[in-house]
Amino acid sequence: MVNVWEHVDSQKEAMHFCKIHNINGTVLIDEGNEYINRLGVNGVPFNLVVDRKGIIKAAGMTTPDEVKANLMRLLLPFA
Amino acid sequence: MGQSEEFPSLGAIPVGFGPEGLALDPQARKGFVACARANTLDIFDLDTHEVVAQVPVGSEPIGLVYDQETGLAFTTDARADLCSVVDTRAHKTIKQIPVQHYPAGAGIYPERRKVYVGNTADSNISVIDIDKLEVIATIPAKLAAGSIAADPIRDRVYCVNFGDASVTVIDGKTDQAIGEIAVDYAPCKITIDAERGLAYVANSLVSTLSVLDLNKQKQVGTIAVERAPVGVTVGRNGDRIYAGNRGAGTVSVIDWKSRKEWARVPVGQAPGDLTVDETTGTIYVSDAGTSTVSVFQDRLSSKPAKLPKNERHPLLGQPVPEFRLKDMRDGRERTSGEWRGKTYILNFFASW
Repeated sequence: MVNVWEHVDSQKEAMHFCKIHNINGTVLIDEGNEYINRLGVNGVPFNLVVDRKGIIKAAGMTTPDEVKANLMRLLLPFA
Repeated sequence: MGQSEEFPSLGAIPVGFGPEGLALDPQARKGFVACARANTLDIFDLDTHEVVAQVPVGSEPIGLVYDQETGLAFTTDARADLCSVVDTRAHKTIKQIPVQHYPAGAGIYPERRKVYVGNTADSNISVIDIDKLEVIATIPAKLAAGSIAADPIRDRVYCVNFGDASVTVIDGKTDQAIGEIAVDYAPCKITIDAERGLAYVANSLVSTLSVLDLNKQKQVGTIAVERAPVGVTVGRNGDRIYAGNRGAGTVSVIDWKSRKEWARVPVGQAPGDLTVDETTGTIYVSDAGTSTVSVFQDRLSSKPAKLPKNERHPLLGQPVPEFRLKDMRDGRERTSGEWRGKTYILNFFASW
């Protein structure tokens, strides 16, 4: 997960958010929003699904179901 | 912001960090915005776009409503559990009214002199008397109650329940909850067109608006918009509806008769709440990501030849751009190379 557009105390706000929503996985901070600007993304939430070869296979998506559907497609042995 | 003939941009006003709730006084030519990460109510001039004051309020002000008669603005300060009352003419916070936990939503019923605060963590609503400036009632709602709007014609008040995919219906006189109307997942905002007896609810998780018939008391339609609509408002003549799509950085322009999206207007990053100046028709949008209020006009006269559709994202099929980002927990640098050879999801989020 990548925290973006944090205006004040980015680490503190991101930690607070993760605590409330019980997020325990890897969280990175895009300090100064350099990465999201490079990607040209204009809104949140935004999801990218990346395959084993580092290629983006799905972009956008909002609902957990949409993200899961895209991920499942990639994890299938014959994908 | 893209320039176009149909939707000319009038600029973007830099305001305090994290703008959310927005309200206007078209006669006084002033706009008001709750800046949730600056903890201020910013006041700007509608014609010069100058920010004339940044009035300190409580912590994390998200909801905002304005009472024309008194010139008082009310912010719901989510982390402070307060409703701050700002005299917008004197540029001062004159009172802070304790409400319940994490008040993220607001509504106003000026005809009955009441402000409604959605206490999102407690799933209930505090009712404030505008003239006494005190809480006069508490109404039970459903999970994660938030944004509220009043229908003065049918004398009812509506509150969206973010965690319940429903809207609680309240009797405007007695403040009794009288039932619920089902909408869709994660409703963030409700706006009412009382004249036409309709309400529109932004369902942020499924990227649609629910259309509610206020006489029949049920959902009568769905409008597809772009990703994660957080704000919704009705146009000056009632012939347009606008949605602020936080996930896409655009405003959807909807034709009320056909209930179809006719256009998308790029604004600042992560837009949310939006409102219309009823005297000029100009649209104002809070861009939470860029900390600006984007301003544009709607000159679209009829259905465009080309309607918006969800384009194939330009990043699809591309190698993921390399990143070098700080780990939130231990501060060390993490790079995209660490995930080479693995399938993974990069989820971009904001804490607001």
